[in-house]
Amino acid sequence: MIYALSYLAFPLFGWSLAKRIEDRAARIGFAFLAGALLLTIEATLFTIVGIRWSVWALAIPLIAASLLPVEDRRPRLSGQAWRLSSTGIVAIAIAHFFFSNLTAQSVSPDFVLFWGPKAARFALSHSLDPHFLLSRYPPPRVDYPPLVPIVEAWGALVAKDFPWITAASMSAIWLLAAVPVIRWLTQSWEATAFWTAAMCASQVFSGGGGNAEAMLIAYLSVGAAAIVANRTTIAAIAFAGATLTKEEAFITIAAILIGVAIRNIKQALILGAASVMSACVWFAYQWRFGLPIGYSRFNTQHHFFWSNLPTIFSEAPKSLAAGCWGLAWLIPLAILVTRSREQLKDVMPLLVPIPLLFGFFVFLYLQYESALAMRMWWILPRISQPPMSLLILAAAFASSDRMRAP
Amino acid sequence: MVNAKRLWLIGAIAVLVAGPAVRWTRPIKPPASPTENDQPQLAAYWHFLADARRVVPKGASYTIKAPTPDDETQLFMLSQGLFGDLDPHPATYNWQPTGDGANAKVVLVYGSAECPADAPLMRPVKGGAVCLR
Repeated sequence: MIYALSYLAFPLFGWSLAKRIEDRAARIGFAFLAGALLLTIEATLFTIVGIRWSVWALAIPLIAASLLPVEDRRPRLSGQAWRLSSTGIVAIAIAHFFFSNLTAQSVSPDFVLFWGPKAARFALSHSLDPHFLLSRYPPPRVDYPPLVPIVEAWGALVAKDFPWITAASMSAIWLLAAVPVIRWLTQSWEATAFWTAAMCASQVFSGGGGNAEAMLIAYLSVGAAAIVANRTTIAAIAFAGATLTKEEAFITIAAILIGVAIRNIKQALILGAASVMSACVWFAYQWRFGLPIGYSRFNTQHHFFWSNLPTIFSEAPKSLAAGCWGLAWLIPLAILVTRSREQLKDVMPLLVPIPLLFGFFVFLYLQYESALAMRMWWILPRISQPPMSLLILAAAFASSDRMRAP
Repeated sequence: MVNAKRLWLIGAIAVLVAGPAVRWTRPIKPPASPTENDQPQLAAYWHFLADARRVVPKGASYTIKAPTPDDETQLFMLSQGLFGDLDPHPATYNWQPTGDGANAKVVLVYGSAECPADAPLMRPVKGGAVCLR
């Protein structure tokens, strides 16, 4: 229980970055996401300069920053009435993901194999323990950025224990935090309810409890929606969070920025700079302690097995079912095909990355030497979540009559 | 617009029906490990390590013996979270033998209650034994 309550600190930590959001619920949701990002940056910098983590040492600077006077837009309740049907769907979907984890039906093996061990060790050593990462027997994925283990370690520092199942169950809270922000940006409770139902079903289907996917989806979705809603600062902070969550974020963000650059090169440069600066915090840590700088997973072989193509196309539909017979793809597609060209033009930054990302997946799968079908079944349900979210958000904006003026 | 709103809601309900309503068929009971109902092999490793953790003294050096290199690799990965305050000397790391296992004082034997000849002191635990050199 104490572990779960520790997450209440995140909105306090990120409040300074959310003060400009006028919608109260969206402000709290975004402050949660921003708070986790600020905690990650601070905890990484602490280890770089040799300051030992403690609850108060980490909390006090972030809370003090939240108290600084920043242009504060008066919070107001959502302009759109809270709709019982939509909020009920959101509540059921989040509860489904939460209880699937709590009953150990959807917890990721990655959580017990490396995310959790990293978090437990970081909490034990009160640092982003370089000795562990550089040890003779390091955990898998040493190059992964630190947001997930730092956030999970924060709870362990507060609770003075690492309750594994509770920690994995907290993945649902990330989607819950994103809900009011997505609603505020899309101005549609109904589309937000669909997004939540689809994301939670996909997380349960792919076993997302305790790993990085829920955080990644929360950050990328908020960032992508903020681009279309012309909230560049919100998008930049969200992309910074995504970059420190998982290295795959770079691919998705790059694909989104191609779509953005077609329309607004300056906005694309700002968002790209935010992502790179965020990653540089992690690279600085790697450089400081002599770890290989960068992401080893991007070292692709560039040897293509064209005989993989039939397997790729025959296996993909099973992995794209997303725990809901593919409805998470089909319904937004049905909405998009009924929209006018003008409406689709506005959501191009969300649509352009989708074929690019699928092209990248094919590029990767063509390089697999063995066990392609099994590895697709394991990986594709998770890595297809960002394009699925982009498709839903594109349909949400395209079907909304409240597109924001620049 | 009204049609789109209705479509979103109907779609969301359909996703809920296809997700929770169809998937949630198992009885809900408190799990003993994080992967209890989804990854039984990992859950079995977890039960063994969690039970062994109670009898291994803090700071001790340990190694893991299991029927296959895959078992030993995954058991070692899991142990890095559960045995964070111990000194690891895995016999197998990333599916490769290390030759370091002989330097450990505690031998965690998974899948058998038989200790190695050089570690005769034994305490049975769930799924195996803890042996002392």
